[in-house]
Amino acid sequence: MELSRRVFVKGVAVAMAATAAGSLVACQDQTGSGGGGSGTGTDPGPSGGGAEAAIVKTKGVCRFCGTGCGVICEVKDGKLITVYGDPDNKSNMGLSCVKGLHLGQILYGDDRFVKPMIRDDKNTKGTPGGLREATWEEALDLVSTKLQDTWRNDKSRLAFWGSGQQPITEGYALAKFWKAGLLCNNIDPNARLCMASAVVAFMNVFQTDEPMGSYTDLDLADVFVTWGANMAEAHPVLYSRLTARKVSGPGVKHYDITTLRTSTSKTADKVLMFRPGSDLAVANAISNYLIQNNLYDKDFVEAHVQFKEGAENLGHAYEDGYDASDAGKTVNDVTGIDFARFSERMSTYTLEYASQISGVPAADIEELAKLFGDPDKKIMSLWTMGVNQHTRGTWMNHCIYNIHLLSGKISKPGSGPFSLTGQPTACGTAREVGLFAHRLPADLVVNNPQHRRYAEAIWDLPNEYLDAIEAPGKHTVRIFRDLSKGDIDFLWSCANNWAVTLPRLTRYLGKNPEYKGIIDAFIVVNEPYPTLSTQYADVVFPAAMWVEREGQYGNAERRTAVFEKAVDPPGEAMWDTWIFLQVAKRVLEGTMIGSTPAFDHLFGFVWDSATDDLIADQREVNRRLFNEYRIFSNPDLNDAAQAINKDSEGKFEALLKMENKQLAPYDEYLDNAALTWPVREVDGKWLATTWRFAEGKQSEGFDEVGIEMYGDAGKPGGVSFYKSAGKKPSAVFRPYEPPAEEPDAEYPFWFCTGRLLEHWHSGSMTRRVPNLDNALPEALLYMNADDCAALGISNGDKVKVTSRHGSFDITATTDQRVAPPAGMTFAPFFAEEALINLAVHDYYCPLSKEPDYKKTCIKIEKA
Amino acid sequence: MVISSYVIDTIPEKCEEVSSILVTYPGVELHGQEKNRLIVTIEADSVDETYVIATKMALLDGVLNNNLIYCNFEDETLCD
Ligand code: SF4
Repeated sequence: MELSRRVFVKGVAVAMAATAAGSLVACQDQTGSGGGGSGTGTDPGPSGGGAEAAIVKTKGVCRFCGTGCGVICEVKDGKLITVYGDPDNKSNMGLSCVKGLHLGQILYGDDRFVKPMIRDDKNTKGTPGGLREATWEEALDLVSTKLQDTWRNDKSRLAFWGSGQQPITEGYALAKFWKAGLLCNNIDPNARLCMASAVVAFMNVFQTDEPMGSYTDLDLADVFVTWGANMAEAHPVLYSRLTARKVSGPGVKHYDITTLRTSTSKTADKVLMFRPGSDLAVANAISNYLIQNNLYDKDFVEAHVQFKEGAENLGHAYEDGYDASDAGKTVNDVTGIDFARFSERMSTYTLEYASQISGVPAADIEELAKLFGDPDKKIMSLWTMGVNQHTRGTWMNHCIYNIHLLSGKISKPGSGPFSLTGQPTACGTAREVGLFAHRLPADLVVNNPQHRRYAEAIWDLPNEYLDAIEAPGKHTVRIFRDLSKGDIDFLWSCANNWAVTLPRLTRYLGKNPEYKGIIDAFIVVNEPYPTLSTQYADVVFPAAMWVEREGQYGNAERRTAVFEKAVDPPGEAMWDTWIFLQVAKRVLEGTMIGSTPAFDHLFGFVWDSATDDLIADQREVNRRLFNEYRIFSNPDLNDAAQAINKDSEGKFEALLKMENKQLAPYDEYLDNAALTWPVREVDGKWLATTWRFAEGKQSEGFDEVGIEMYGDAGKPGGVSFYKSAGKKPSAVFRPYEPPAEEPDAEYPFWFCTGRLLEHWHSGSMTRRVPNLDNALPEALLYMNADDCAALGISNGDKVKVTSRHGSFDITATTDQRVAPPAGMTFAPFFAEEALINLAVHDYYCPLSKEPDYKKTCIKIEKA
Repeated sequence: MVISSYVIDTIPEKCEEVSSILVTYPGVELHGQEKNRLIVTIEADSVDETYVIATKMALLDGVLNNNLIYCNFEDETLCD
């Protein structure tokens, strides 16, 4: 390690420890004095307020990864000066990672957009220039006119691309505008690129989205299994909790199942290196071993599990018409089978067969299978992009659930399958408020009449009003494939940088003469900073970022947390909710719902008629939006909704059990720390749930209220999956099927993409932090040393990477930070100057429509 | 080089004693103290070595808990 780097790293290590120690001590002191309130207000902070100007503290949540660390922001003279881990937040308990330490700086890059920008000449698209300053009035009118024209002409030609970084109330207002206002389902979030496979599997297996357990399991497990997840770099604080458990718990083991060695592999006790795509075979071999050796939990399986098999030989989405093809239409089909049939299907997956497909030694698979078969071991499986960004991503999620269902290791403290998320509110917003093309808020879907009736009741819409959106809209890849072909006229995006993060950019960015749609379409981007995406925008709305407005995030453990407004946005930048509703007001002008103007009907409760503007008090806007949104999970607040929830008139097939995701009133999240849903009111107090579907006291984090309401007590394992059909989650047999591309003579290498610690996603924020930028200034292609030697490539050489879909230049390295085996390569996606997604294919999981960023085949030449 | 940091909880009366022993370990530096908590870094050649030292620290008489706060092992060479 170079000296400058070493000094940097050590500085971070010390700063983090000091922060944690300080917060922990402060936390103890507070407990002693009966404190424990919000921890905000005006007092001298650790930065040394002293006799100088008072430092104002506000509560925040980290802007970056899905860990969702709570932070405290300190503001002096209107400027954010420090951010450190919030000891009251149970997700991180005062810890934060290196990115978290530099959070404050992301607001203060010197090139913020401070005025709306308009592009007059489409020929300047794809260049840094071409945008001119405009007034809000001009920009809002222009966008509204374009949206309204497209909407009136052909709704299928407009789309919104949302984000797992949009706060909950913002996402909720947007979903309501798009689905109930525009009656359009062409809205999808960037979470399609990271969580969709997890979502579809959750719904298929449990009929409820999001995990049973929580981060607390990290402090309790005996065995950790990471499936294609580099937690050390992508979820650093959670990984600290994992390693802390490893260091402190006797005999705690960690198995890393991966296609290449990462920082996470380095601390694992055993690394199981598999051939890309073959993780299904490894997982099935574990399930099969449990069955064949009678090591599965028979009582648990008997009481809680139903078995299925589904459509197979799905092929791949090579063609734009895949979804409508014979294979594409049947991908969701499943049939119930008995355990004997399930076992028979699984029986192909012997240790030897799995080893032959995957390259993992049979003895290693057996070792892990035996641990799953040990009733005394608490095992936590953790996964994220390696499993989700997979042409059989939904299936692979199923395969992991199969193991945990067979072994009964689920919904128990320290034991359970845990799907990690990539973004701060992929769960809270993208998934929970329904930003997907097929969804409504709170797990409801557009193509279910009972769900539409329920949403109509809460939004006070005429009966069957939402039947207009019965058919799901376009998913992300479809939106951008259509855009490239000229089939989308209006595209709007917020809180993402699609021109860097989408796959197959050679096609999508119009670098290929056949696909010039991006130039002709009218594109709107809400952004704080110039990015590659704003280079393609016709209008840029300057957005308030992070704590420049109040908002809420929901992290991977179902924890909803409010971040308060700490500082004002620069210049004329405005918060996204204001922007959406200003456009909604204009576009819906002249549209009626019943006898009231549509806009008033949908958003009158947050609109100030005296000023004809959004209510000025942001806290109040957030409170009102959140408290309407929470009716979805509190049906007793709305009689008509409750009647549909309970199916009082016997019109539907099932109870909705909407209380499954119960949220507390907004002010509870302000007055207390962040809470994991379902949040239950017990004796006048709102209590969180740490382990869903698990029997035990609500006050200790178990799902007491839920089980009382809908479940059965006294079942094997002390759990009752009350939200699942027949109260039984589904174990679905899913076979190994080969990836969309495999290395051949022309494209001999696998190319896997991902994240590294210092930078988050496209780097639009973290690259503006000098410390982080210096620590990792360049995206490199990590290669195996033997491969380099064979190609005559030396460390630091510029190389040209080419796939069937495009090419890019990058610097090659044999640095061991990421150490691929022969035939495998890796690069992070944060750098637009090494735009790796130009070459990455967009073939997706047929069920979740999530693209596979991990298995493009490439060739490498010295540049 | 693997760099890691820790917050070590000590029995308050033993805090001084613990800190005086810790600093004699190779690669260990003491950076500060918050009541009975010590802020410590370890610089070692490998994760394995780091754990050996971290475990040794955790086992010291007077140590209640050794919390790993941050660990950077980007330089670590491949195991096996
Ligand atoms: S980037 Fe993730 S781990 Fe790091 S502080 Fe933010 S939320 Fe926590």
